[in-house]
Amino acid sequence: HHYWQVREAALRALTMLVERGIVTDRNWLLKETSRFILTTTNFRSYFDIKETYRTLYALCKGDEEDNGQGQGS
Amino acid sequence: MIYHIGRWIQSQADAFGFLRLLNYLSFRSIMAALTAVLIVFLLSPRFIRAMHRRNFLDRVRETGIDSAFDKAGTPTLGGVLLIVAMAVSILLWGNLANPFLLLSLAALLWFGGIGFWDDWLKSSRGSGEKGLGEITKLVLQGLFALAFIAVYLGPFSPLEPGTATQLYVPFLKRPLLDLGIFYGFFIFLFMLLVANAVNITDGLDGLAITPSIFVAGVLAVFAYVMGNTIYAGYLQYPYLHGAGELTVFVSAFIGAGLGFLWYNAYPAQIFMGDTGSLAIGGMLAVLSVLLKQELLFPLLGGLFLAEALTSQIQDKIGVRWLGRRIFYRAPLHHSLQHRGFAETKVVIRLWIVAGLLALLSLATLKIR
Repeated sequence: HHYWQVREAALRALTMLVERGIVTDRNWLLKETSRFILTTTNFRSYFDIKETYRTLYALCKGDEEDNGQGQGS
Repeated sequence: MIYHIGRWIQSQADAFGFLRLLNYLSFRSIMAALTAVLIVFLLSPRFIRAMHRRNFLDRVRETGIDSAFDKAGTPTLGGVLLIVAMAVSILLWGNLANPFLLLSLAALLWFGGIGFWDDWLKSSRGSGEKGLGEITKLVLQGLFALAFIAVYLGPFSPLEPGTATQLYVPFLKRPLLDLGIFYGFFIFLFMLLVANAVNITDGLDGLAITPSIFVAGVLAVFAYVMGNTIYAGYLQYPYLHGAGELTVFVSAFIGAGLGFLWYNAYPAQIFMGDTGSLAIGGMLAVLSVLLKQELLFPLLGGLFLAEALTSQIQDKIGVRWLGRRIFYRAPLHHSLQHRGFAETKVVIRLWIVAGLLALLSLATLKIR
């Protein structure tokens, strides 16, 4: 399909079908989906340092809340 | 400075005849560009760290695009680098007695100052919405436009009185008409439109700077042609005595722009902010007026106009008057992103569009 969003949605739907055991002939599925055009005009950027910082931030915020609850009780 | 010192030394003794090299616009233009690049490269790393330390970071506005949030925390005020590099380069290599150069430099500094004030307020107040008000910005820009008009149409104009008020149209050899005093109104609106058009375009990493370089490059060619009696006569353009010096000015911008793009390309390490975008817009507006190419700008700067018009039509006519969107999204680059194009794809395709428009504009030199 011309729009990558439609192709992606189709692949996601197929994934769900496999996960639920509805599609069992996986070799056939792999053969068919190998014809999918996987190039796209979009991508999601992933910045290692920013993700690590976000994890650290969330951990620290989580600890802060735990300590706050501990002190309050 | 080097230009003036060189000419003085030349006049003192024949032994320094090699300094005649400084009389050539081409040489000084190349040196201006290289000097500006060098200055940006030298200053940028420290400047970026300093902006981090002082918390002059970009504040994200809600646009509905996920990648916009990756930009939060990127240092802004990068326009200061552009302006400083240009100013130093021009001071070194430019003919500081040339009125064309002085007017363009004044535009760069004034509009850059407005943008700096806006960026400063946004950063210090911690919100992208809390900069200078729209009306305040327009009034400040209008003040410069009025002063510029007074000089441009007055006795100190760098253009001859008969030429200053004539309206030249691309593809036509002769001026279309003489607007007289109404030329002032035309320039006023033109300057405000162009300055803000570049500002609106500056929304993605590298999107504003490269098309600006293309536009400025074409204007540099026009400046060189119109400042040369032989080329101007051959191509049937009005000869503007001294306009060739704008080639040095624009070359300094191109050098500074390329240096800035080194750090501004995706993922950007620094943004130019309103400091840079307004400075560039003001500069391009003044250059277009000085070179009598106002009506070429819709073609040459078509990308900027498309961005500005989609944004203003969406906001003023669509949302505020009709109560609904007219375009899918505005400005143009947001529309492309919402349709599923990655930021880098949008930027490079719009660069290609800007490049093609620049080529077409160059073609108007001969197709007349």
